[in-house]
Amino acid sequence: MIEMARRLVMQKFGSRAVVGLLCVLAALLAFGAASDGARGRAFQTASLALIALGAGVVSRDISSGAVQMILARPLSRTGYLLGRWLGVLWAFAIFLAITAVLVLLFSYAVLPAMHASVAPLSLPSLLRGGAGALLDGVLFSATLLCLSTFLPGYGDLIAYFLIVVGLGSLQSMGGALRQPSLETAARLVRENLMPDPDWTELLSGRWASLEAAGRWALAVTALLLLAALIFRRRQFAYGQD
Amino acid sequence: MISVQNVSKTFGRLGRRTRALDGVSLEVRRGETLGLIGPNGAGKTTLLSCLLGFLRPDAGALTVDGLPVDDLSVRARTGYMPERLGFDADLTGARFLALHWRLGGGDRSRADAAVAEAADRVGLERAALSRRLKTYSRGMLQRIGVAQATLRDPDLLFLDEPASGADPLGVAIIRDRILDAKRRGATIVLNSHQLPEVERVCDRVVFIDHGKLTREETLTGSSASRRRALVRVPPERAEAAREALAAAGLAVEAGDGGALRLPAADDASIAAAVKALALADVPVVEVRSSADLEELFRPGGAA
Repeated sequence: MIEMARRLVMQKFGSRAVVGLLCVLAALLAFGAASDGARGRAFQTASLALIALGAGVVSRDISSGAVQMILARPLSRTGYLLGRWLGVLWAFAIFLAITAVLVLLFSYAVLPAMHASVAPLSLPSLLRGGAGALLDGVLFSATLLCLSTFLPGYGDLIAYFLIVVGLGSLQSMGGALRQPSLETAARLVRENLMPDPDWTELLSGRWASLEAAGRWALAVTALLLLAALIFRRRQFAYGQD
Repeated sequence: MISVQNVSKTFGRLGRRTRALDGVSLEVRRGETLGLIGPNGAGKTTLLSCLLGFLRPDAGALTVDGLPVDDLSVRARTGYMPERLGFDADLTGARFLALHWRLGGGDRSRADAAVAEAADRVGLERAALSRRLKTYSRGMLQRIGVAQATLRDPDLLFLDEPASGADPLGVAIIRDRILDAKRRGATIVLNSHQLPEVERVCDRVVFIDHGKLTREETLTGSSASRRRALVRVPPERAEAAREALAAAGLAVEAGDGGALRLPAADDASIAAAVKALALADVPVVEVRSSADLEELFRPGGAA
């Protein structure tokens, strides 16, 4: 499992295109966070990095045929799947750590050198922002992993956005059509499938978002179990010769 | 021992169903090298995929030493090279081999030495190991594919068109690695269209057509069912040679020039033929044994 996680990190950081994309994103995020002393919500957009790190995480291995070579080794299908997921989180944690270093660099060297007027950096806020982004990433990457076990290519990413847009539209339609049941159903699905706890609040010791955090834990567990169930039943053919 | 009992597999949905395997049964003995041959679309790769647990048969059972084929203890002693090599293109050759070494349960501290040794065995230069796989030629990919399959000297080796796309030297190197594994006592299942290579390394072949195992031929040992011997003598001594062989009780078919063919020639009859010719003072220019597997592909050949 650890080897699978290591493989994903090597794959992602071995690709110049992915590294280039992550560098640009890290610089933009760090600049945004340094501008308001890391007190704002700049880190909430860090999940964008997961598009580069987690999209097609299983389906690309299946379409390339790599999964057959790996599963011929003494590694269970669940181990492979968890390894891929942990690899995405590992790579994402590296990305967040680099972004945090860049925030420090911008806050203490670059912005002062430019005589920019910025709020002083709050290290606790920076840490809470990074940890919150990682926890958001746990759910997003679990969702992509689950979708990737049965959708080809980058279908997981497309499906994710279709679900987000679809549920949002249903909720709006329910309100516009005065159909509270439709609105409530869409909201319930969204809250349970994609809960959005306020990690900054929770990590500051305020428990208002605790219920959402519980739903988050349930969603992550359910998605991982579903992914394992689907992947254990999958068959891998590359021809009928 | 590998056991395949009455395995069937169908692909596709209703109305467009293809029966890729239809009641296939076979056994592969420990240490045996079995060749799977047959036309394109016959079901050979499907059978290999079932043997490796990538596909679940609709009916029938597959076991290795009585265990399910996807049992992790079976996987721990399995080497596999797919026809379509699914590589991590951005990994270097060394990292790719090290990854498979560790995935196979190899000691991390020995990974570098094992990688270097595996590369040497398939004739991959050390410099190539530090290059990304996406820069490799087809032949180099075949070699590194064989290197990963034979890492940790597996007991079970499943090879799907291992020499496809390799140059003649690559083909020879890949053949040598298969023969190495065979000498170690590994059980090998080889799917290949390169019939001369199949003939050189396999003990037995099964011919699969339209998902059915239609014929089985033993290529080695005293029970070889499909061996032809060609004995070549000077053309002017061909008649004397034919008489000497006939006198020794051997069936002979005369060919062009000094060629004499011995159908169904096992090791003993080839030795008897050479002895009979020597006693008759007929010089032997060449003796060649061949299974002529190509004949199985001809219409009616597999009947």
